[in-house]
Parts: sequence; C-alpha cells; structure tokens
Amino acid sequence: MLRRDTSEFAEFVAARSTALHRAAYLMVGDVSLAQDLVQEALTKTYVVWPRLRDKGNAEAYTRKAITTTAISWFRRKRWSHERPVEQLPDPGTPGHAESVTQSQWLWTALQQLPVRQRAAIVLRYYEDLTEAQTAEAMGCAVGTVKSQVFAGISKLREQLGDDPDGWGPDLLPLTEMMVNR
Amino acid sequence: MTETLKDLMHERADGPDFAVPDLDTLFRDGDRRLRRRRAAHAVGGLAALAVVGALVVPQLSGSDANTRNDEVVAVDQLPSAVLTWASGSVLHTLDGQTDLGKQIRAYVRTDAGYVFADASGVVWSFTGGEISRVGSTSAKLPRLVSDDEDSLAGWVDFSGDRPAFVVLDQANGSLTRNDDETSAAMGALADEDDPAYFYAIDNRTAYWRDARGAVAVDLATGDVRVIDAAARNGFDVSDVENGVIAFNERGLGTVLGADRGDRVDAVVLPQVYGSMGAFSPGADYYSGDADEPQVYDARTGQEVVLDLDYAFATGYEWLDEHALVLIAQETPKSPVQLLTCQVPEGTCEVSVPDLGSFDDLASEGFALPVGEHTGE
Repeated sequence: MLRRDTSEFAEFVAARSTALHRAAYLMVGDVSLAQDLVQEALTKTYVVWPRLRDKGNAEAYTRKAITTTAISWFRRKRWSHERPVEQLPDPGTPGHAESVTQSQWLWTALQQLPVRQRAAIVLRYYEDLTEAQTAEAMGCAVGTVKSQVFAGISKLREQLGDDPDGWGPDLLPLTEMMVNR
Repeated sequence: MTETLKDLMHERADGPDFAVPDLDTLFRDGDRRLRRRRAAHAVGGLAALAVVGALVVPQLSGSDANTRNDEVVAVDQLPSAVLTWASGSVLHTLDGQTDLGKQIRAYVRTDAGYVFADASGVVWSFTGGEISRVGSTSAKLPRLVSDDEDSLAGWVDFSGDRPAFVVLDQANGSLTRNDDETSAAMGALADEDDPAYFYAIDNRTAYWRDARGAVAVDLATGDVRVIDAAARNGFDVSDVENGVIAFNERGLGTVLGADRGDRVDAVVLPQVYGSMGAFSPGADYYSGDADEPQVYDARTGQEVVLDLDYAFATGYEWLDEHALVLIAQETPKSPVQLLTCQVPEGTCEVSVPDLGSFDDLASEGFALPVGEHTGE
C-alpha cells in the first residue's frame, strides 16, 4: 500500500471543495446533506489517491463519486426520512403565484425530480459537461443521459408550464437538451 | 423572461457558505477504509497461471531449499469449490474446518485443492489430504493466483537473483519457472513501478507483467502475446476469464476486452473505480472492488443491483456463474459477515453471520481465497 500523500490531497481539497459542494448542493438540495456527500466523496477519493496517476483527474473522480453516491443513497432511501421535503406550490392557486418567485418555484420543482434526472441536469447545465462526460460521471450510457435529461426537463416544463403567467417554457432550455456535444 | 435553468442553478449554488471539509475526519475514515479494504481484500485476480517452455520439475526436487518438497503433512481433506475463509492456520468451510498447521497468510483454490503462503513466504500445496511445500514468494505481501476451474496456481519467486514466475499444476505436482524477461531491479508490489507481477491464470494461459509489459503466455506452447506494452504496474489488469481481460484504464474505468487496443467489442464499466475485480467463471458478470457492491453484466455493461442495505459490502469471489460471495458489514459496528448473492436476480443471504470485527480478524490472521494477505 502506498504511503498517503496527505499534503497534496489537502491542497486538492482546499482548491476544489467549494466547487464540489456547489454541485452536490444542487443534486441534494440541502446544505448539510451536500456537505455529507462531499465528505463521503472526498473520503473515497482519498482512499484511491495513490492510484490516481494523473492528479488532474481527481476532480472528475470526485465528481463521479458525488454523483454515484448521491444516486446510491437516494436509491436506498437512506435519506428519505431525513431530507426536508419542500412542497411545490400549487400553480393554480389564485394569488399564490405572486408570493413565490420564479426561481424558488423552479428550484423546488428541480428538487422534486428523481435523483438521476436531477443529477443529469446538474451535470449537463451547471457543470457544463458533455453528454459523454455526464455519462461517465453517472456511470451510464450516453443514451441514458439523453433520456434522463429529456425526462427531467419535460417534467419541469409540465409543472411550470401550468403556471398562470406561462413562463415555464422561457425558463427552461429547449434546444440545448437536443444538442449532442 | 430571460432567466434560464442554468442561471438559476448558478445563483442557487453560489448562495450557501459551505464548511471546509474536516480533513482529520476524512483522513481517519479513509485510513479505516484502507485497513478494512486490506482486511477484506476484495480482489479480482482469482486467476491461475501458466508458464512458458521453461523448466518443468516433477514435484519439487533439487537443492533449492525454497522449493524442496521436504515436508508432507496429512490432514483432513476439504472440498475446494465452496465458500471458505481462513483464520490463523485453520481453513474453514460452512460445514467443517481443517488445521493446516501453518499460518495461512494468503491462499487460493483450484479444482484440485488449495495453495497457500505462510508467514515465512513458503508456498504450500494442499490437495488430496496432504500438504506439500512447493516454493516461496514474498513473505510480507504474498500474492498467489489460480484458475479455480483448473488445477493451476502461480506466484512470483523472489528468492533468486531475479524474479521468476512459477506455476504449479496441482493435478500432477509439476512446477514451471520463467524468468526470461525479468531483472533484479524489478519491484514486487502492485503499486510499484516496473514490478514483476502475476495478474492471473485463465484457460492454461498465464497473464503477468514483465519487461515486455502485460503478456499472455500459453503454458502449453510457450507462445507469448503482448496484451498491453504500456502496462506499468499491478493495477493495469484486474482479472482474466474465458479470454476476457479486465483492463483498468485511467480516466475511463474498467475496460473488458481481449487486449488493450481492442475497442471494437470492448465493454466499458465507467463507474468502476477499483483496480481489482473478479469475473464469474463464464465471464458473464464482473464484480468490481468498492465499498458498495459493483456488479455488472460483462456482456452489456449494465449494472446488476443487489438487494442489500449494508454500510460496507464488496464481492470478491464467485462460487459459480451466478453466486457471488461478498464480505460485508451491516453497520460500521456490526460483525463482519460473508454473504452469497444470486446474480442477476440480486437476492442475497447471509452465509457466515458473525466473523467478529475487522480488528479481531486482523489480529487472528484472516484470509479469503483471493490470493493476497488480508490482515495488517
């Protein structure tokens, strides 16, 4: 077993943890859970650190660990009893739409998507990964990424498109999700 | 409305202040996992070996003290195609146990019995109710490989002036050695640069790393095929079965194919991080090394989900094409268990409910049939 290079690893954590936290937060919708997720993913990265011949791949490895761990945890419902559940406001309720900002509405709707759809959207539109890179991070085929993104965006449109002001279609990417990168 | 989903995500993500990761906790947890992993050693490499047209020695003979067959001990026989584990000098099955009289530091099974290395690095063959001294390898970190559907087992002998790949056929006791492409400067460990490293044995072909890179050596003819000239260490190949090789490729994952350049029919397992793994006997399935089960259909790359909710579980050997054995802990404080899961159904049952803690196992000297030392 190789000796752990803690200083080099600590430098990596210091440099990239904020960016990793942000992506994790978008996937799980909760700051403390995001921190747990990043801590777990970084621990996994630390375990394999000597095997990462190219330390430039460390962030991609950690991002992959964040994504697959989040999917795994949600799949096992390990967090289901702890995770705060935000209710999507009923868009048809008169007078209520004004009290909810568009971004809050979209954020809530995003967090109600199944975790794989949410992860695919975060990786594609926040991390700006290609479909191939997203597939690698999720451990699935490119076709699965396409279908997950399509399903997620469609659900958001379906929910947001019902609001009285009809701003859903403008808020969401339409053509982008059809582009192969 | 100009706001986009992308803008929203950036706004949201930039909002919270995230605590700096707790490095002390991270290092402590990571080191604990490393110890646990070393204890579990969910390694692929249940291979076997083969050797070139080198020297064939019917039973060990000659003046080499390391390979002299000077001790033969009779003990109870044990079947080999079953779930086993070793504690101290005792080899356990679900139905019985046999004291082999030597600490079992690492062991593998073949269809003829078991081959194990003791604390001194002496390699022993256990077959037909007899234990015979058959060679030597690294005392500190022994590595044995075998083909559990055949009678071959192998290891690297470091006792000479250069490392030698040794293959034992337990069916007749014959040994072959090959040191044609090794040198005294070569390392021994998977992590080291330029090691003489035995990857696997499959279908009478040995897979190892020598000066040529990763090679496949036909044991009957001596023909050599270079499967990865760029192979740098012991992590480049994790297992071979039915001619399918599991290559670990940086930045890509585990790639299943006939050689490193084969991309036409290769199956890529992109989320398999570990450098170790085990094919099912027919190479239909592959279990990767991880803290959570990572089982895939090796023909399609599709993940096989196991019905488990354990804090730690990883598969390390296949009893048949569909029965995967895992070492597991339900919670970090739970006893270590051995589970058997059916693939692809995903159903699992506890085969050995309580092996004690990992610390207990390490102090007793614990080993699984993966060919490497499991305690620390």
